[in-house]
Amino acid sequence: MSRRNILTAAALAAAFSTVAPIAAPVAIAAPSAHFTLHVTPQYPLDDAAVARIRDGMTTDQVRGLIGAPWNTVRFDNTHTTAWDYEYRDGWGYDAVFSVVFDDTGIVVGRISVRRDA
Amino acid sequence: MRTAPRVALAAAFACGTAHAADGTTQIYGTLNVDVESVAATGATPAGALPAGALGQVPTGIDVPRRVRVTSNSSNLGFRGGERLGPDLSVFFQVESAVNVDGGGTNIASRNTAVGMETAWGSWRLGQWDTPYKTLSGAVDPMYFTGIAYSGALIGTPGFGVGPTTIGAPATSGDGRTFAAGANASFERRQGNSIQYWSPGLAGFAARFAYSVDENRSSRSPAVTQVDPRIFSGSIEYERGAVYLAYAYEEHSDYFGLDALVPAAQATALTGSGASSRDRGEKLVARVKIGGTQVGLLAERLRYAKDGVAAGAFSRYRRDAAAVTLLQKVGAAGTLRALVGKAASGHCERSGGEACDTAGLGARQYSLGYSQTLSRRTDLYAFYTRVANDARASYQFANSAGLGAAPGSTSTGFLLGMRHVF
Repeated sequence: MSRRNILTAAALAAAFSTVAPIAAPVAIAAPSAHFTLHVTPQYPLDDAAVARIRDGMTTDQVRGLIGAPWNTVRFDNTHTTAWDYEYRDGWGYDAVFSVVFDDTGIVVGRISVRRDA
Repeated sequence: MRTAPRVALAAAFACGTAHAADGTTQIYGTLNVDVESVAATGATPAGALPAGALGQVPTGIDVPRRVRVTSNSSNLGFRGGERLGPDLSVFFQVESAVNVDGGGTNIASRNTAVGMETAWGSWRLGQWDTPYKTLSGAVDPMYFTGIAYSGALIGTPGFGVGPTTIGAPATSGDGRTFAAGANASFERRQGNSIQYWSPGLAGFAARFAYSVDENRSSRSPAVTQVDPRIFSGSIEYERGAVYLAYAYEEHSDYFGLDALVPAAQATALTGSGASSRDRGEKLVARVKIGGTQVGLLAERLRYAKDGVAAGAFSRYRRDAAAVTLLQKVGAAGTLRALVGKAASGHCERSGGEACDTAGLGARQYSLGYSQTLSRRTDLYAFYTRVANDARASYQFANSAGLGAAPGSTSTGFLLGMRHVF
């Protein structure tokens, strides 16, 4: 084994050693939670937070779980309103998570759209 | 908030939308298809380049207007993961391009990797966009794909070079040299990669990627000795309405200059003593105020080849920049605009002989409007124009089948639809 290969192996070993369980209570799925800047108040929105939202919830329940949206859009054709939240998803993409409410304020859909090419 | 109940809730409410660590696998995709009218006209008349002038030989060949249906980065993917502990989870993604316009796909042709998320950041192994490429997405206003996006001038030195997906240096059509546009691209989805992404800390986050030297030469005296590898890294900072980022990418022994110089000067796979180091630097800035987002992209590319014959091209450096705008219009409309410029740059020849980059600049304008019909469906209309100086050959980033002869101006109008599932 050449010296270069030994160095490579050492670097890999160091990288893999970081998988040891860490006690600190840190977000698991979205380490870049600091990037969720348009959530007001600033909730650290990540995949786990997004996963709490489900069909049938009310606007108050959604606001209580993940805060107010940074943007809302009314869709007249489908009689729905989307609440948008910017975040970084668990695979590392910047994305917009939208919660779709019907006109009675009940969640009828959710979609996460990545900024990607 | 960051305690055990969240884990339990995540597991309980996992239906519908998949998440990296919840144990479910999701099928997802984007279908982004447009009908577009494109042409490239005004090519510089055929003729020879003066001695010492860098550029492709003018052909005078225009591309008359035609209509295309184009599937702009449409994709179908699978993603999921597994939670292994309170601060440890596995994630995976297999994403494939889908040619909506003509059929066909190539499995795992897009971002595909398996990795692990820890409190100390995440790492992944596979094929993924380099951190350098990814940064442009923060400000690109044209969905970061298609003929109108910033990739016409950013991430390419011109010379017909476009975005690439590859894990090792490509070779020329005849297999004798490293003359291939893919080797000069700084808009890379790079295979054979290890990536590490730091956790966010006080608004900062860093990403590093290394594409290993799988194609290092054997010790045979008959082959050109190369050790091709790519490093790419970025640092991002976001606070309030402001986002700033810097990326650096270095290609060793990829011979990007071979795609720019005359074929006779390209590095042979056998018997050459040449080596190369190509570097890209990119600055990205973004401000969001109300319904307005303004972005800036600035880039410097440097190509360097050593061990070349006297008089051969050995260096090329060029700067490019773009300003982008996203403006909300009414409840569901967005105005999109982009203005970019690539400078002609500076070159050197071995032995200090004169080198000329005159006419290698270009400009790009894109203007568009999109209407959101739901959070999953957009309709859009874009116009774009990529205008080359006399010897430059920048082209639409998504250029399949069109191309641009030196000096030509590419224009396109399109109507498209983007649906996410």
